[in-house]
Amino acid sequence: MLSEQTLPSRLLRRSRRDYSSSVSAPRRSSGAPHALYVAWGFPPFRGGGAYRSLATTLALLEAGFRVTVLTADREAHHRFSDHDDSLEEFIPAGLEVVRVPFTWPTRDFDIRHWTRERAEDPKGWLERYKAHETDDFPERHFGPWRPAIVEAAERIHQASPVDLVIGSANPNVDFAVGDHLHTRYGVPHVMDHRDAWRLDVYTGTEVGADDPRIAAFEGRAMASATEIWFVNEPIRAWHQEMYPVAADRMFVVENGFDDAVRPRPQLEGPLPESSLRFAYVGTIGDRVPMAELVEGWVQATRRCEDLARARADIWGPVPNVNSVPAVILPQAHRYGVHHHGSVPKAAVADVYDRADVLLLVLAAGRYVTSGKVYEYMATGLPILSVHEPSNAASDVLRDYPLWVPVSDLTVDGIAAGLEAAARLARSASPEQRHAAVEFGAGFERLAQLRPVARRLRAGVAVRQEDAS
Amino acid sequence: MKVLVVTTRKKFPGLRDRVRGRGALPPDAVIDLLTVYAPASRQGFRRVYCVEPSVAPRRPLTVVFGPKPSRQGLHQRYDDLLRRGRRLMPFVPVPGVLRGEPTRYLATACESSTDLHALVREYDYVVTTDPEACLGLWTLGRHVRDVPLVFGARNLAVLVGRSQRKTATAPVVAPPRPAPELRFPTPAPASRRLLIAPANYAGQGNAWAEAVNRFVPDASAMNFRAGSLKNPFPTHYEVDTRTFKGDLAWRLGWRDHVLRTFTHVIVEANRPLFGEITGTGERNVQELLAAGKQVALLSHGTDSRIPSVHAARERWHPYDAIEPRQLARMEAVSSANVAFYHAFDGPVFVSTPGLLEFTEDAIWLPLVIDIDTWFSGVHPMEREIPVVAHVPSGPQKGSHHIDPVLTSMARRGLIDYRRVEGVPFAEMPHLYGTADIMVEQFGIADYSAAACEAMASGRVVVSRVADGVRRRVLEETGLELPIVEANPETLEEVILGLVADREHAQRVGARGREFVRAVHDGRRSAAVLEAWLDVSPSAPSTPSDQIKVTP
Repeated sequence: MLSEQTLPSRLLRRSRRDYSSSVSAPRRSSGAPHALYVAWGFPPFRGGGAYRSLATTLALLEAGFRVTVLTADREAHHRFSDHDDSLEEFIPAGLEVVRVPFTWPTRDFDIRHWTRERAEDPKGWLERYKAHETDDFPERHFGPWRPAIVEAAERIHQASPVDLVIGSANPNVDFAVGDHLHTRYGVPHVMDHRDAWRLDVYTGTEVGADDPRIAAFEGRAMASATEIWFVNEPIRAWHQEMYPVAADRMFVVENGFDDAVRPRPQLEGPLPESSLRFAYVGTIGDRVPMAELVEGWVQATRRCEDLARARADIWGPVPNVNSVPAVILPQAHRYGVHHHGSVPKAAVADVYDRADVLLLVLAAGRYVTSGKVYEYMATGLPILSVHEPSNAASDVLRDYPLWVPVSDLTVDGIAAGLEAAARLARSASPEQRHAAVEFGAGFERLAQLRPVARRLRAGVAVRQEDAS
Repeated sequence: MKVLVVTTRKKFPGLRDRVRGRGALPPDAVIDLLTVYAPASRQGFRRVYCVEPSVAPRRPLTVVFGPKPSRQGLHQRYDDLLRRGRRLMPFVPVPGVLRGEPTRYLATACESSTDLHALVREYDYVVTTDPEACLGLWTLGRHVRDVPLVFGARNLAVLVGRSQRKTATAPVVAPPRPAPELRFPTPAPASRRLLIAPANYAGQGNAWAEAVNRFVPDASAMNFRAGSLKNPFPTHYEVDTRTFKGDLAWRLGWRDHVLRTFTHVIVEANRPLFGEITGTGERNVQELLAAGKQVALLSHGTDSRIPSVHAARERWHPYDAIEPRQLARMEAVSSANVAFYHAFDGPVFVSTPGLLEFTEDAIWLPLVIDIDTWFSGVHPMEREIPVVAHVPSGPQKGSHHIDPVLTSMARRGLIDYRRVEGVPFAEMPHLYGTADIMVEQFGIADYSAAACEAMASGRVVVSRVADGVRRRVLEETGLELPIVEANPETLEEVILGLVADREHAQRVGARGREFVRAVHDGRRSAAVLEAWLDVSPSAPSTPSDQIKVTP
């Protein structure tokens, strides 16, 4: 559990209770421009994008905006997604949070919540639901949420006119509010594409071609957006080619590590007589090659004495209990690979303190970066990349002084990488470690978002001047 | 953890294991059952509770405690109920009469039985995989709070996972399974030891391996199949998908075994053979080459038939009957595979001559058919109304072009149409042997194992085969391909022509049998493989201590 001592003071200005009932529209107010930030995944949601949302809203506040967040209700996150109530403590003071009820029938497995019609014919009901779930917006699961958030946005805009909308996807329905307010009232809007909609970032192929409404919506939104953000250059480049008309308004807004949980720099290597400790921190999705890591680990421990005495600690939830990593990891402890489940955000720094080498194990895909890489770099520890060399994370790490990429994801390739990382952990000089820490420090998330927020603020000011 | 499984079904084989496995329940989880009908045995459940329809008045129902109520026990229960003044209805087990009734029995019990409500409160989760039981559980939800009532075993895994993540930092993972005894089969001692893996589509991996065993001196071969096929074709070694992907000891042991045992490996359809979950077989090919193995690739069909290329060449392509999303995936996968086949610095085999259109430098490795298995003594085309068979075994067969024509002809009494579905592979020889004409496919413009099998049984095979394929067969074998050419527009006319000239049709059938014997009995395939085995270096004979491998 997070304690108040671990949190920066600027994040601790109001208690959870202060905004929990902020479901009515914010009051009209003059002065600072009003930014409406739309993100389904906002704390207590703890999955992808939650930290980026927190930092973005804080940067907007610092830049002089009044900020209203439009998000899903707590109950939805409690029932349908990975959540952490302690994350609500990070919500910046001064933020208005409007929570809109969200239901997810295809993930509601408790029959008690169903209607009688569904209980009488569960499969038929689900088929009928799926046949209509994208009627309001062409996105499965989230499409039915559109009318509710658009209506909420209307109320917010009527009560206090919105000067800028920022939608943070996915889900992509978050863009529907910006599109609506722009179309109806000419409100400028920004699309924060943390992932991509029409690009499968793992396979690099176009998706969604079976529903032309997706291309139609995104094309219209891209054409009208003031700015469009992506988390890395390959994703931006793909979209620039797809939407040349909006290419000059597309920017890379990288992720970064959060200052609130800034890892302590590790400037000393392991003692010569101590066993090496490898660590992985992060969610372990289906595509994360954890089985390959374990196989490479076994191979490496067979041929390297230093690694035979080493251990690897894997920290992170496995969302799909039927996935291969979920099945493989419990069997790996006999080979020195120990899975510990989730680690609270506040305790992550302790994990880094105990590690000699960090394992960056990522799914394949040249468009995949991962937010974890920035936190890893801030430690100054040697980082072993266990992912395809073409992965976008390689671009981030390329100049990191203590980076060891595997040559490929074969068992031998991973084993060789582990051996190289072990050697580097033993041999890295204090100067190299200092250089690594210094390099990593440049990727603090808020530091990257502040200039972006200031740019948006200046843009709004110009528009206000023009209007006046 | 205590889980109560609920079903209205009379038969539920493997239900407990499914719930335990898919529900990712810990090994010490207690799993009990609530049924409508008393089962004949406990079926692995610790306890079985029954909402017994034989004592089911409209209301209220009662819970009869298992595990296996004897007749005497049930009578005792009836007596108890009678003494308590409850009205009984006789149980009439007539099929169909009780259709829908189990749902009502269960729902009524869930509504009115306080015994059942008390029972359910003892459990952490109540789960059903039976849609008919959902109404009962929904009803139960109005009387029992706090206990999750779950539909679907996999969904139970999700809820259990969520619950564990809320309450602890312990890993949320599936329970470890005991390591199986690791015994891997080995080929017979020989200086060249070949593994063909991991697809075995149409049993061909096995057939090619057997061809090597029969016809190539100082060489032995075996095949491996990862994951069970719908039709259990013969195979030398097979593991289920769960073991292949998720059994770490097996993965490590199998990799070691392959690297130690074999000198040559043929990787089928660019699929992984060491249990990887993502990507293709390319990484495994890299590993095998790095370990000094002789490696060849083999394309079976869909893995290299690029839809856009095939559609541009073949008017009767099957892709208009395939969902766009699946088609896009086929395009991406086959394009990537073909690029890999072209870039590979080693032999690439293809199972049918039509695939040479996509991988020009590949080598045709003819399919192998067990002639004796498929032999039929029944002469074709002697019935007044000919039997015409079609096996719609996959979307690429163009069955949507074939079915309407044959159905229409059957309706008019011109043929006896047999659409062969759900027939076990072992029964296919008899089925083919009793047909007169086999319509194979209009989609791939090639000829596949099914056509060879039908020819081996002496049937008249009608299919669409591209001119280039026929030319290639003639060039390589000196024989005309005895498959009667047809397409959706000419199919009826062609069949009527065969019926009108039965002697000609019978000659075609006989030529088909001769063709298969000459090209597809294994000798030609063995010669193709021998040419590769001969030019690559050999290794010492298999040591006997490799029969059992411990990781």
